[in-house]
Formats: sequence, C-alpha cells, structure tokens
Amino acid sequence: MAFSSLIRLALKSAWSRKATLILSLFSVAVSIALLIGVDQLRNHTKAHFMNSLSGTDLIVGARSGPVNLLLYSLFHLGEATHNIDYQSYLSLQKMPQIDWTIPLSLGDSHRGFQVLGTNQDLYRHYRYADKQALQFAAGKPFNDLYDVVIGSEVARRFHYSLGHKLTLAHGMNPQHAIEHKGQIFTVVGILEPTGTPIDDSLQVSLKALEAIHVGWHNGAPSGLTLTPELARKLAPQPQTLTAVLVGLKNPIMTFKVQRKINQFADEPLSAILPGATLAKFWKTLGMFEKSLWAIGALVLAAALLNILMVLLAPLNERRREIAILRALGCHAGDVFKLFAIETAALMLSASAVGIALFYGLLNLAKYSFPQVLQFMPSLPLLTTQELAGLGLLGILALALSLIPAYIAYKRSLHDGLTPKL
Amino acid sequence: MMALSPNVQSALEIDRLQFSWPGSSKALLQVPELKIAQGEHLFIEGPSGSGKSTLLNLLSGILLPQQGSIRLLGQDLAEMKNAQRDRFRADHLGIIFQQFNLLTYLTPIENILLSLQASPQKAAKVENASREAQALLAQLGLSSVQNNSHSLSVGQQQRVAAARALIGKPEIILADEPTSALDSDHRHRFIEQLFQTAASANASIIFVSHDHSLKSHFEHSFRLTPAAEENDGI
Repeated sequence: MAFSSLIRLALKSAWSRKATLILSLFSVAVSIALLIGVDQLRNHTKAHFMNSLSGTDLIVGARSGPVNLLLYSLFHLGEATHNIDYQSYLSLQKMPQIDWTIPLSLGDSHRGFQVLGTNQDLYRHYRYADKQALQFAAGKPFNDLYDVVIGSEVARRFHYSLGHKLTLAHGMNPQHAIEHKGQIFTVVGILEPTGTPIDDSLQVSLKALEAIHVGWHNGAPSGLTLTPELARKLAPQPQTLTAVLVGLKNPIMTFKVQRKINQFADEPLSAILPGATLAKFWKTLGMFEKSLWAIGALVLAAALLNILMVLLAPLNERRREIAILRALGCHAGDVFKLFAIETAALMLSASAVGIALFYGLLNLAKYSFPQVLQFMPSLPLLTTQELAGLGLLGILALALSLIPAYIAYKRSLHDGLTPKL
Repeated sequence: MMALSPNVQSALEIDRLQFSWPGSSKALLQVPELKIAQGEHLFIEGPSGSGKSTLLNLLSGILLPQQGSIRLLGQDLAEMKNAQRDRFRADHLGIIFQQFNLLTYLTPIENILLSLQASPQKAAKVENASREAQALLAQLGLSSVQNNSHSLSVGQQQRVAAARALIGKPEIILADEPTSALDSDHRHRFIEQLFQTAASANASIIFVSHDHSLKSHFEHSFRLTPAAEENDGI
C-alpha cells in the first residue's frame, strides 16, 4: 500500500484508540517538559551564577579557601573568618599592575538584606554578565554619610522609593540583629535589576558603616551614639574591610599579582580568580544537577515503557484489523510500518505538547515567583542539546515500537487471514 | 506476467496439493486435483478441522504448499516472491471473511475503497471509485448505507465486505463462510446477489463453507476430508 495511504490508515486507527493513546501521549509530554525544564533551569542558573561577576580579575580577602572567600564576598553566604586591614587595601591600590579596586565591607543588614559598605568605585568599575555596569533606575550614587543606594529586589520587596528613610542593623539574622537606632539613612538611588546578589543589597559608604559602629565593642552596642551632625564631621577612616575586588591593567599579569598578594608581607591574604572559582564551585553543585537529570531520565523511562504498553495492549484486538489488511494485499512489512507511523505520530505530538507544556509551566512559574525567574525569558529557545535529546528520544521510541511491530508482523505471518480470536 | 484472457483461462488449478505444519509428519490437507475455469464457481465443503482455514491461506498465497502446486490464473504462487504474492492477492483476489470484515474506524465506503488503495491495478479499472462503490452496494441489496461501520448489521457488514472484494473486478473471489452469521433466508439472498454481481465482473467465486445446503448454487464442489482426526482444526 502506498505510504501516504498507510499514514492515513495508521492515524485513523490510532484515533479510534484515542483514549489510551492520549493518556500515554500526556505522560510522555510531561516527562519531556520536565527534561527540558530541568535542562533550561540548569543552563539558566549556571549562566546566572557565572554572570554575577565579570571583568574582575581577582578577589582579595583574609587567608581562607577560595570557594569560601567567593561565597562570602560575592554571594554574601557565610561570614568572613577574618577581615583585612584597611592599610592592606591602600597598599593594593598602590600596586602598579592594579587598575582599579572595589572595597567591600559586610556584616550589617536591613530586614534580612545585606548591607554593602563600599565606595563609588562600585558604580564605576563593577561589571556583571557581559561586562555590564550597574545602572540606576532612579536617583544617583550615595554621597552623604547617611545616603543609601538599594538594589532592585530590596526596592521591589519593601516598595521603597527615593527619599525613604531606613535604619540598618548589626548582623545578618533579622531576629537577633541589633538596630542602629537613631542613625537614619535616606534612599538616594535605586539600581536596575542585574540578576546578581547586588539586587539583594543596600549600599552605603565605608565611612557610614564606621560611623554607626563608633564605640561598638565585640559586636555589642555602646551607650555612646554620634549625632548625625557630629558623625559627618568626625567620620573616622575605616579600619578593616571584608574583601576587595581587583581589576588589573593587563589580565596577563593575573597569576603574578595573585602570587604577590598571596605572599603579602603585612598580613596573610588570599587572592582568588573569580571565574575559575565560580566554575569550581559550580562543579561541587554537580551532584544536584546529576540527580535532577537522573529523575528526568527515570520519568522518561517510565514514559517510554508506557508507550510500549500502549502499543502492546491492543495487539490482540488488532489481529483482525491486520488480517483484513493482509487480505487486501498489504505486505507483512506494511504492518510493521503502521506501528512505526503510529509511534512516530505519538512522539511528534508528545514532543509538541511537551514543549508547549514547558512554556506554559515556565510562564506560570514566572508569574508565581517573579523574583526567582525574572531573568528567564518567557519563550527561551531550546538548545541544540535539548533538540538532539528530543531527536534521540524519538529514535528510542521508534526502536521500542519495533517490538510490538515485530510481534504483530510475526503474528500476521502466522495468523494469515484467519486469526484465532 | 502473461496476458490474461477471461473464459479461456483456468481460474484455479490444484495439482496433488499437500500441506502439513512444520514438524508434523501427517498431512493436514490433501487435494489431489481441482480445476475450474474463469467465471465458474467452486464450493469447498469441509467440516471443522478439515483444514479450511489452511486452504484459504494457501489459496491466497499466505502459506505455500510443501508438495504439489496451486495455480491461480495460470500462475504458480510458489514461484513468486513474498512481495509478488502480496501484489497478486491485491490485484487479482477479493476476500470475504466469515465476519468482522470491516475496519470500524473507517466508513463503509472507505472500507470498500481500501481495495483500490492496496492495488493500483484495481484502481485503474474503476473510473469513479465512490460511485462504483455505491453501485456495488446497491447491486448487493444495500441501497443506502450509514457512515458508521459500527452500527451496521451483520448482513450489511457482509455486503460491504462483498463490495470491497468485488470492486476493481478481481478475477477470483475467496469467500470464507461469509454467510454463516446470516439466517437462512438472508443467506440465500446474499449468495444470489453475490453471484449476480460476480457474474457482471466475470469473477470466479471460491466459497468455503461447512453448510452444504448452499452447494446447489455452485457448478463445482469439493469436499475436504479431515486428513488426521486428532488435529484440532488449525
């Protein structure tokens, strides 16, 4: 029979069994959506993660492991065991190979969000993603001692706008942080979203952090509090920093400068390469990635078994159908083709439904958790890897369809025109 | 393929046919000699277990005999390749089963037209396929037919099956107890209608049945005898 007639016949036959077929189509579609979702989310998270910093050649902090230093300086996860001396920062600035630096002083918070003590070099030199600088959605960098610039997420969460007054608290834990009472900061700038931890931070000057901690000892507040007027006048120079981001004049010098900093005479320092350390850290997350894949693969295996079942189940009732076709002169090979066509159609529709399902669920998730997925496009293109995976899945399903097709073929040879039912 | 001229040629020639299933020493089926001319009809009578199904599969080229030969329209089926036998069946045979003849997911008309899709040679002999299908149905006593194959009565189903077997003017109609599900009144009428329609196409009907009351309709008959009593009617 002509192939086009076979296709029509296979589709009509499949449609007559649509109840079970549509169910199995959806089970395959769900696992396809899941696999695409896992892969897209993984790629997105990785890109997002790797994009947190760009253009910074070294991160310098107190002597510690590279991943640890990366986590607390960049992602504000965990705390620095030691600070570095402000004098070391000044010495770094004087190194001839160094182009720019961004000082970072951490430890305070506002309603659970990290306060970043820094200077205006942050807005001048900080780059993320594809060498993008920080952009102001409103306002300007801090200037006065009691100015604060807030990240997009902080603004979104608390509906802060320019001119809003707020206080900072000592420590990160919102329950135990001690508020710096009487030290009122004014929001002077709001940053555009970046998809980096900057979104979740409030930035003030190093001097401001110094001023609100005057008289504090070992994390305990002092009875003495400076009035804003006095603080502006006295504004002591900072003593310590948490970390320094460093940009070099020539990236070729990176290893040389790194070695030099690691052998810094005045105090033990560590300099890490952010890109390499990010990659290293991402690798430690590999288990997570692999388990997501494993779950996806298992769901897929279940879906494929389901296809097999759906093809095998009606084999008996289809013996009559096959005998009729054989009587009409169809080759036994045509029986084989009918099954392959049905499986191909099933897989094609399952893939289409699966992709649509993925886009639907993604946008539902984007709607429900905007802050988590705001940098994920609404209709992300499938990667070639994912398309290849879909292709492979189709081939696998076709290969599986050979089993029932072969059984049907063998049976049709044995039954001939007179199946015993 | 040799040119076929009706009425001169024999439709079926069986010569010392023997068939047994592989591994079985006893012959399941034996037909010493049988010959009918094109346009003549043959009644093959056999009780269950006499190898009717096997003979049907042999006649349609699905099975091949171990000994002897079957020639349809002068051609030995055993000399053809598998695909050629399928092609021959599509082009020159029309087959009607005992029951469940129709693909229920197709309309009755689509069922009939399936014959033409399977055989370009049959298709070439029909000018307006769906009109021809309607005409055949009318000739077989079914002037109007629903679109749903499910809701046809058995008698209607058998008529649609007969139309499917007859469309495209195949030389031979193989009928495997097509009337067994009909009551006796309908049975004779169906056979008469089948004969009339076959006559206008000059087709030979080979009719297999255990009901010898139908034998009187046929000019030739042959009785299959169970070759081995212990076999279970394969």
